[in-house]
Amino acid sequence: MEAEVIVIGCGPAGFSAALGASANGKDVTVISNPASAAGFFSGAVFAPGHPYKAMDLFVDALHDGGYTFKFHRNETKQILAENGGAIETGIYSEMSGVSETSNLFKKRVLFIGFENLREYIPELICSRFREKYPELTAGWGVRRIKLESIVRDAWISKITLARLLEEKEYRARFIETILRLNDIMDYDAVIFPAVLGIDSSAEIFRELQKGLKPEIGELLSVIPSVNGIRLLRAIRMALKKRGINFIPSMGAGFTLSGRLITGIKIAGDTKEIMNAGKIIYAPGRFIGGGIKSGRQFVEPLFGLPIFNGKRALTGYEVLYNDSYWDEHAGFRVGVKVDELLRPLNEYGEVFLENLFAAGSIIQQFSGVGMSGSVYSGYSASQDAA
Amino acid sequence: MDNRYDVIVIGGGVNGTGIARDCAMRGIKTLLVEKDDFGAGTTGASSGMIHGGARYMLHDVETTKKSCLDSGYIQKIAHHLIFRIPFLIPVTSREKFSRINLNLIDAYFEAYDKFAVLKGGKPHTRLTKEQALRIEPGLRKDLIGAVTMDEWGIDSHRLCLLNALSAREHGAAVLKPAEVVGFLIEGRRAKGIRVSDNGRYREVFAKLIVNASGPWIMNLSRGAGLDVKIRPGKGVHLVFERRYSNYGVIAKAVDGRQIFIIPYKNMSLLGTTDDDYYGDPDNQSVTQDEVEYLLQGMESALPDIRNYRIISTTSGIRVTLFEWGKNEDDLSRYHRVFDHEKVEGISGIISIAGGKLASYRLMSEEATDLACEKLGINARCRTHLVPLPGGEEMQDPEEIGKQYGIPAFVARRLIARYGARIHSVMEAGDATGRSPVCICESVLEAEIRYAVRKEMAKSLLDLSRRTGFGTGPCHGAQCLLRGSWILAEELKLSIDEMDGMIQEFLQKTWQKRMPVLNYNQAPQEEMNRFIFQLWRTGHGG
Amino acid sequence: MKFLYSIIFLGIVFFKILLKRFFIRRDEESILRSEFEPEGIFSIENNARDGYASFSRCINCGLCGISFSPENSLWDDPRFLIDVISRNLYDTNQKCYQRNLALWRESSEFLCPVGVPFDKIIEFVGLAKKR
Repeated sequence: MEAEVIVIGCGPAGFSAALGASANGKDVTVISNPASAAGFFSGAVFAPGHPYKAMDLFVDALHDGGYTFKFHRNETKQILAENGGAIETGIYSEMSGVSETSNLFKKRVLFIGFENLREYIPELICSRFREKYPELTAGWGVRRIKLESIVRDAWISKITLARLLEEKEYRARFIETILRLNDIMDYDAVIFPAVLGIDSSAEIFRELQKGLKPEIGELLSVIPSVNGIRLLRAIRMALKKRGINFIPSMGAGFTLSGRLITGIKIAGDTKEIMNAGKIIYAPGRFIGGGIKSGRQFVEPLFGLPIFNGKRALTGYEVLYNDSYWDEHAGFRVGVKVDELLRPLNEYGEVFLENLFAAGSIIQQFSGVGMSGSVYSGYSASQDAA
Repeated sequence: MDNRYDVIVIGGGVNGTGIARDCAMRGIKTLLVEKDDFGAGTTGASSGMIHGGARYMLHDVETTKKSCLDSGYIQKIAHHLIFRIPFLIPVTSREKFSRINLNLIDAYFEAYDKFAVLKGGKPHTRLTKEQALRIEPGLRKDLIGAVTMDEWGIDSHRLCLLNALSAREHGAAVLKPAEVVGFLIEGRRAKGIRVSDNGRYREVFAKLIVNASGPWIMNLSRGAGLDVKIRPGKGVHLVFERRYSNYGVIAKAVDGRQIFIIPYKNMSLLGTTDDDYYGDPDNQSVTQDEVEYLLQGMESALPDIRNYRIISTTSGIRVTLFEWGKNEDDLSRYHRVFDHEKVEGISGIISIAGGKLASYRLMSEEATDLACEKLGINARCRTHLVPLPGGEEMQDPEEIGKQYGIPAFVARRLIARYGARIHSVMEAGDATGRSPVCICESVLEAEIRYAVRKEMAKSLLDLSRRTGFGTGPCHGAQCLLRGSWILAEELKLSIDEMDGMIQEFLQKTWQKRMPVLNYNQAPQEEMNRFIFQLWRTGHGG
Repeated sequence: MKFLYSIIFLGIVFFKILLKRFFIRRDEESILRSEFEPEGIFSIENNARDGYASFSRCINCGLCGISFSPENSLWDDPRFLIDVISRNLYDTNQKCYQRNLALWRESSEFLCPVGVPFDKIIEFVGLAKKR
């Protein structure tokens, strides 16, 4: 099997790399384990001043895949999240467009919670904001609904509810239950947790809005995150629509010729080898399995040395501080790369010439968030092979 | 709250609460003062086993007999807190004279069987290599045989709590959290204590003060010119997130000490160390040395131990009686009640130190006997006859499960916590009370409310000691927000106070997790930072 | 003096043991199993050990809830179930084991970010039932 570019890992970094390479006309194959830390996506991207080309490509592709973002280039909004916080950003899920503070302050807003959904506490959001801004939130209220017609008296999680709403019958019952609230029309906005469907969210949104006068919005999700699942599925769908080859497996080794990687061994029974001219490695840090921790941190596929700051780690360092809230050295480990994003060895030299790294496995990109991954993925794909 | 009592007990560990209970049951007007929470010190960090002193059988048969007898009493009064931990002692061919050793161990436990009966233990057995590997497949392959024996484990936090609740039910007053900052001494007499209660200083008077403050005993006593000499010994455990062995396995560490891994509720505990500790008891941490020592030692019996996920550590300080010139391990585990009137000539105060978890009831009885003698009261000890709250009758998990619509295994966990009081627990919540909040440890909403209303829980840390909330593998990733919201409702806290509670909890549990983070726990921490970063940085406004 | 007595006593027991081993054969293992079968612990067979330890990868993110079915309740949510089966080790009569196993394999395994092997749960359920 052959490809021009292999991308290992299919989170935001790998996805951006695949998009970037594919946009340049290269033949791309993505090898990835199904999920990634992108499953924890809240719905808002921190993108502090990154060049927008990479982000444009990302957002457009996801739109094709079924996930639509609102993308403000020159301003940021404060969007409410399910835990009572608010995230300030210019790129966020379209479904949360209504839930921004400047839109909801001084209005009559109803937060709807569900008896069967114990994880979401709308009273928390109201209380938090009421303590800080009592006059601006005077019109905010909370209502809890029982979802007997859907799950009787079982307790369910947000993910479950979102999946159930994908089925037409449950969806109809859900909408009916909402519309039956007698004074719902008196409000300016009705805010839900992020549970309105997974693949068919736009449809559900439209149907619900049809029957309601107030505008509807979703909050940004916290783990377990429905926005994360939507993102993962949209990534898969986008790859499919762009005709980018996807192999759901892991890299289990590689073939080498001099200082060039010639191919990646694919894990599984057949142990096939995929040959390629350029490898982009974006497996993620601990969650994705790109770095395994033990007495020493190791990168399991290529054996790349792991750095913290400037030094390669040898296994005896103290990497965590006493305070939980500090920037812990142990979470900022990763591979070190040159300006072309190629990993370096302990002596600071490139030793595998056609290997590029992207995403949170890069030490310099720890803690930056999804925008760093998108940017590095795109950059890695742009260099001449 | 009065300011005059007959007896003031300082310290809410197993001894302090045991003494308070005994005193209250004998009709003495008692006050129990605890600066943090019941079992937050040494008791909570113990191995949680009430074992019968098998070690002392050779040179001190009396101790063994008394420990086993007392262990039997504890089982009777708090049978819901107890669970059986059968032990396996493998003998490998690497040791010298291993064949003779095996027979010696067999003989030893054959003799011990006579005492084991006193605490309801089953007789030992001796296994060949194949048999041992069949019942415990993870053992090292160069075994020549094994010996098994029976022990009992107990939930030590709840033991302290139940003693304190029982004391309260018999008329004692409980003041927590309140720190004793000094004694009121007049001439050669201790008249009372000065206590800091929520920032206010108060003076409380008593005819007798019992100092059962554990590792803090030396600091407190010095302030009164008393001399209680102890050798504080730090002991740590590693907590694994599931049971990795069927039985408790005993191994020899690199310096010859015995260490063990026991299946403990739904986790495993690997312990323990014993080192002289001269630092601050409020600020202990587990070092990499200790972690490596324990893992290296257990590797000699269970070779796969390094592949397993460690989620936390516990660290506590043993209050061992002072002896110069001995190794920590060889120190006597006996206990002593210090009568300061006889030694230093200061009346009105006694101290207690030493001992083991298994003999707490005995220690409390001795201390209370001395107190009664000094107060001139004639009453007999009944703590071995009256069950602790919840220990009244056995509950059937299947029935409880059906009655309240929860799965039987959840009912089993609840019964292990509350025993016969489970019905009042379930009443504390309304219809939603049966929904689970902490999934890792099966904590229901009703339990959280009950802990605040009836069990004197005032923070997330207290709650985690009562129910195990937030101590599972996910360390609160799923349950902290909701649990603290319910607590805030019950305690009537503001949002800021609730946030402060969460921050304190995260910080304290982080300090326990930090030394073992280099194992398989890293992905969990990465995800938790997602959650708590979002909660923290995305703050309203 | 006491110490001497103890040693003598132990010596006597030692010889008693040696004699026993030569002349009486007991099936110690069945005695152990019958008396020591501790409540709630099932024997971890060798072949289940790998699957068992791999469940410890679970970080409790809840994404696997997607394969849940409304007839069951939160107690049967996959993330809880993994915990129940492999950590709590009780009560293997959950009805949802029989349903949705194929659904788990596809959807939950697709979403699990740390690679908990959902298909091994089926093996595990079988082993747990046997006890």
